[in-house]
Amino acid sequence: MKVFKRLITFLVYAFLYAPLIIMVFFSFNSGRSTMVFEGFSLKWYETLFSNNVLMECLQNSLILAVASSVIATILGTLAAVGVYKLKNKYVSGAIMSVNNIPMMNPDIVTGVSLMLLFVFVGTFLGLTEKTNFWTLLIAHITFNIPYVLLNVLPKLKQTDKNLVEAAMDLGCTPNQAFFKVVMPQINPGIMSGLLMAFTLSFDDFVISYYTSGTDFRTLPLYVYDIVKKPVKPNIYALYSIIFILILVVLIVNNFVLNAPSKKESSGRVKKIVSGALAVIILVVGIFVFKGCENDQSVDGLQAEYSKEFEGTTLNVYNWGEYISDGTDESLDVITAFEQLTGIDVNYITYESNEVMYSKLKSGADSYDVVIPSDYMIQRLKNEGMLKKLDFSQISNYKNIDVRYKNLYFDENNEYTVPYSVGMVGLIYNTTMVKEKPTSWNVMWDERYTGDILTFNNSRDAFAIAQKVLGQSFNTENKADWDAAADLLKKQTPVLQGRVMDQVFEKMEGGNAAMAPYYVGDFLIMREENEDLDFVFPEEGVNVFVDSMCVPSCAKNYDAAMMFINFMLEPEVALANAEYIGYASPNVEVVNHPDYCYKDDEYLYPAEEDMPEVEYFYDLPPETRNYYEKLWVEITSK
Amino acid sequence: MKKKNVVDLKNITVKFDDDVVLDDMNLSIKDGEFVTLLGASGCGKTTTLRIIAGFVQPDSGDVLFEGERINEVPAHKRSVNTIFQKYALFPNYNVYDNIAFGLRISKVPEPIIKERVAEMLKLVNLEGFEKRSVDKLSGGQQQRVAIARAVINRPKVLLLDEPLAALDAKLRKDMQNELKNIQRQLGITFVFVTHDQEEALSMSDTVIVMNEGKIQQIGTPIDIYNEPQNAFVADFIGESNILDGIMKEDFKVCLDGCDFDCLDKGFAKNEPVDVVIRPEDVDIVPEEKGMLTGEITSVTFRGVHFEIIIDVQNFKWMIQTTDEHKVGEKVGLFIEPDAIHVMKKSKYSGQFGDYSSYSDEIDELSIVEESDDE
Amino acid sequence: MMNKERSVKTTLLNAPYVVWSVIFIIIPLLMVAYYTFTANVEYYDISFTAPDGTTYSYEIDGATVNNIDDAKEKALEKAGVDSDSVVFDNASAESRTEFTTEYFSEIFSKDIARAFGRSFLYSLIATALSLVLAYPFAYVLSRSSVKSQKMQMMLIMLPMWMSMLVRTYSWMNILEKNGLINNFFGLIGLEPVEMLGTPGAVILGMVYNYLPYMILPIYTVMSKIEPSLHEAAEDLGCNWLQKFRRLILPLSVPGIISGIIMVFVPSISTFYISQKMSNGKIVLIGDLIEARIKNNYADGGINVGAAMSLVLMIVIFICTIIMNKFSDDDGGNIAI
Repeated sequence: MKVFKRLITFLVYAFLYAPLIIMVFFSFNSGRSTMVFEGFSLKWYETLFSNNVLMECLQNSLILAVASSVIATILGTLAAVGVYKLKNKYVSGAIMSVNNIPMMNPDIVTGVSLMLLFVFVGTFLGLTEKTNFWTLLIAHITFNIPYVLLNVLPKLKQTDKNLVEAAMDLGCTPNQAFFKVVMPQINPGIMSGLLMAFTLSFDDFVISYYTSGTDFRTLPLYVYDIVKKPVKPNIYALYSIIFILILVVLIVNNFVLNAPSKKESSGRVKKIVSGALAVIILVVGIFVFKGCENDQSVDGLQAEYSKEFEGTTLNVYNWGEYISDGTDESLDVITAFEQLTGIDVNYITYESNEVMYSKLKSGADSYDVVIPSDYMIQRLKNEGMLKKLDFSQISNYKNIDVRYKNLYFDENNEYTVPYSVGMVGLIYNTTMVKEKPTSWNVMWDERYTGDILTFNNSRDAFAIAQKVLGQSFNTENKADWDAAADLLKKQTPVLQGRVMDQVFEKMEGGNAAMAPYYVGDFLIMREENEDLDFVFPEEGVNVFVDSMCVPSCAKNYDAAMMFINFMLEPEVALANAEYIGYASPNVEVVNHPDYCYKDDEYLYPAEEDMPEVEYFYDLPPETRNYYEKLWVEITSK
Repeated sequence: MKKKNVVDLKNITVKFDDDVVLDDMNLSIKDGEFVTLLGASGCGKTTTLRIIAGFVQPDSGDVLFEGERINEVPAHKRSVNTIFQKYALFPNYNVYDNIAFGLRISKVPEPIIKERVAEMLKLVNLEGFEKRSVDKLSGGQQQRVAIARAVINRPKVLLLDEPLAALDAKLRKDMQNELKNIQRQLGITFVFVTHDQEEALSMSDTVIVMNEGKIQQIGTPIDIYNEPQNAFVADFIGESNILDGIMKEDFKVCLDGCDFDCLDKGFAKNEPVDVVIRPEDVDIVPEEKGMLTGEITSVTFRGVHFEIIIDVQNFKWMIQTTDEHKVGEKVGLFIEPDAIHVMKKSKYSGQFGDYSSYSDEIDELSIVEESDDE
Repeated sequence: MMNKERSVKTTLLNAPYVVWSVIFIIIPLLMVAYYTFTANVEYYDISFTAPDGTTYSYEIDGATVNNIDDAKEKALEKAGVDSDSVVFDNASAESRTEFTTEYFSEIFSKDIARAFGRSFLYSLIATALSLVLAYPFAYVLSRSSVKSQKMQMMLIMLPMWMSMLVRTYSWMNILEKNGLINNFFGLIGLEPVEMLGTPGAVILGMVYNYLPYMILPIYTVMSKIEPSLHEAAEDLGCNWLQKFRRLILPLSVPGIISGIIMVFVPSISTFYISQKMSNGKIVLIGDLIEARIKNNYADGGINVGAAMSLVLMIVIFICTIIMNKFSDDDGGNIAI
């Protein structure tokens, strides 16, 4: 029996803590990977606090968790007292049933339903930002209250009614009796409700995902947005600090503070107090670290930057991990811009064009600069969701290579300034794939069963099948899509999986033999694993251009122009190009002597090595819906 | 009639962490006896009970049941049953199922269970309560269910852990009688734990007084009361005046400089001893007729008697008498030889028995009105 | 008089929460139903006069074209008129909200139904496994010393502070083809086992993330079982199995029920875990909802998402009601 007790306890803790130990371990990796450990280093911790975006997200998460749990605790306790005092069984029954809804409801339903409400109300009131900090707070309070209520109510039911009477007998008013007698009794319930609410709020991302706005991003949202790019050990480092901090507080609390006290309730209160203390230390720490951010200055500025917009907030909406952020001694572009112009940049990330589109379309928020891909720009333009740019304010536009001007989605160069250029190709591991592949057909090769990865994204996955079949990416012919879908279904048995950001871990760790991905990302992966090689299959590949543009809902048009201009500065564009790893449309970068990917054979293939390329075009809704349905069919086999 | 021992505890020592709870204890319980373990909380009486029940393993020593060592026998295989302090009724079962629990575990056929549960319900006066949920019962009723649930298994020994502590005074009296009756009817051994001396004296065949993990005295209630073995027992059971004395010779003890005749012998010559004199055994007589003289410092009316504190050479005696006296009166004390109990000196000597700082330390355990100080 | 004052006060106490729940719980759910059964349809009203003086008027379905220019072209095509010489009298976009069961019926398509079935099955297995793991653990925990119980409660809660996303990411590292476990297998000379990408990995992810939700309520009810009840059962002759079956199990049913609900609900609706742990190969209903809302928000995605949410919600409510039938107590023991 004793052995069994030990065993089950060990099992549960080993299970719960194994991933956390891995997390702490890899936070000390000197490499960039979370899969391949290269050596011990503290660099992710060192750069952690200079990463403004990340720190801001952490700060936001804490603010939100504290605010929502405190408010929910107050409301929930009031409600618990109210329900407790209710004489009518049916009324209290009804309240409790409604209370159970947010707990019974999947997070995704709660999130979606609240989003629908906020958008509906926001539209009705004519608000430009229909979801923001306040809607996020409301959402968190809403799903927190039930937990508080359910923690407090049983404690209330346990309290001795005579106590209240005794207090009133001794001259307390009913209110005094409540605070002096009942409160101490139900305090453990309130405290555990508060703790529970804080925990849930701090870790929530599903509900936040649907109800947050541009003004306030939390840590889980930040992590989730890193979809196209790898999760880096700095996230691990951040959570390791939180983890170890709490652990230390727990241990100190249990073995030092708690030792003389034998009263159960006071111990619990003390525990919560010290928990709160830990949070406060963390918050203060962040503010301190934020205070001492590095000076980021940019050499060789080509344009003049005034401080005329000092104090305004610019909402920039970009892909996750798609800007040089100061990690690994790179330039912190956002901070540099802020220091230069005094503009406060609110930098928000998204995980896909479609998400970005949804956010813009829902009109939930206003953005000043967005950086979508070509076909999405076409759609936004067609739907009148973009503003023309004032090129007189973007003097650095001259740095853009002519090859990237007058592209199909902006034939007259009115709406966009190219930011980054990418091409899809096939990454493969030379130890597993012996002969250099030349065709996409290799992705159906049964010899590599279980070692083939593909995109977990309908259009990119279809694109490969379409090239194998010799179709255009942009066909509107349903029969073509059907044929491509059939081909993809045939691929399923040989696939190891459909992945996006995981591709980094998989290819770097040698877990898969081949994966289609972007050429720039291949260069990043190769740094971790020299066995990797890359090819542009002969059937042709997708090329994309992500460009900066200004949505029609923008509120700071001139500041947006300034930002776009700044992004074109040689040093800034260089930092971004080196950080992202994709090809730059900026001639100043391409010709820069220090550019680490200068004349890279994959990133900038010579004219004769240039593969067949095709852009994605925006497709009509009917076609989009059609292939989405096909995609569901393919993936839900 | 010589009865055989049903439970023997031999050299039992129990430690919780570093606290010695039971210190080399030896105890025998005879078949069919009503034995009470009496002592203040923390004296080890409940631990003793739990050793017999099998919930606590002694660190050393043997537990014998009908002569066989049962240290390693788990609780559920021992033919003893326990009535817990707060009854420990199973909230998921009704009265009937609670009582039938033990028989069901031992796979007794249902018809027999039905019969015996009915019998038990009759025994504890709970007929008609079969279907009642145990949460809906009063304290006394829960107590009866607990008794029935334990007794139905016909244990050789029934262990009762302060079963009456949670009941009010009147109900407690009734239950005392009832328990005694049940014990007589069933003829099984009861081991009863209490801190209430009155309960112990009125119900038991044998009382075991415990303190600090040690047995202080084992005896019939009358023995315990009349012939306490040390100052602790004397003080713990009833009221006592405990004085330092010197045993001059057999049947002669010296108190406060005066020699008294007594019935005790077997002490060394001039051995210092403790002398116990019960308050009701001292007569108040006119000053000149007294063997000792003193002044009355306090008089309290207790209903049946007066409680009078008399200062004799700075030792405060307590005397219970039905005659009324006044504070300040100078009186004499008269003590019959059979009222004088001489005890050997023990570690408790000098700790008890003087009423100069009169406190209700014992009284507060039983229900007594505050004395009026007017 | 006194009574009336009291009831007013009770009403005042309840009012904020009742109002809050109506606005932020009930109404949003109605919105889900509303979006399930309505479609926002865009039309382009195009009318033009041909050179011969005939006036044409068309209503072009917004789903078939990209923008108003395409719509114009389509209208001309329909009329068979050459585009150079027409004068457009009217070209405007209009959107209408229409009642439709199209989205709702889409749910019953084979693929979505299959995803539903799979989600149901996996979360059921995950719930059962969590119970198997959590129950004895909670029992052992509830029987340990008070000090250790408090410490352990915090240790159980602690992993929940770490982002679910990061924890799932770590698991991938452990289960990968060249991950920790397979490396270990390699060391002791075993063949590597494919773990990531299997249903087992998805279920493991669910169990891992929601195990504390199973432990907490079961522990709560267990810790309320008085030690004397354990002793009473032993005293009356129960061995541990009998004690468990006749006493501990019946008394812990409310905790088990709320544990089951607390694990089953998030498991059946998860999307991140399934995506990562299955290498994107296993699509659960949560993935579908997320993908549809994300990928075609404007053209029906939100409606189909709402429809799937609605059905998911109904399924869960039915399950909850059935579960609660097993427990006469009102469950809900998430209290620590």
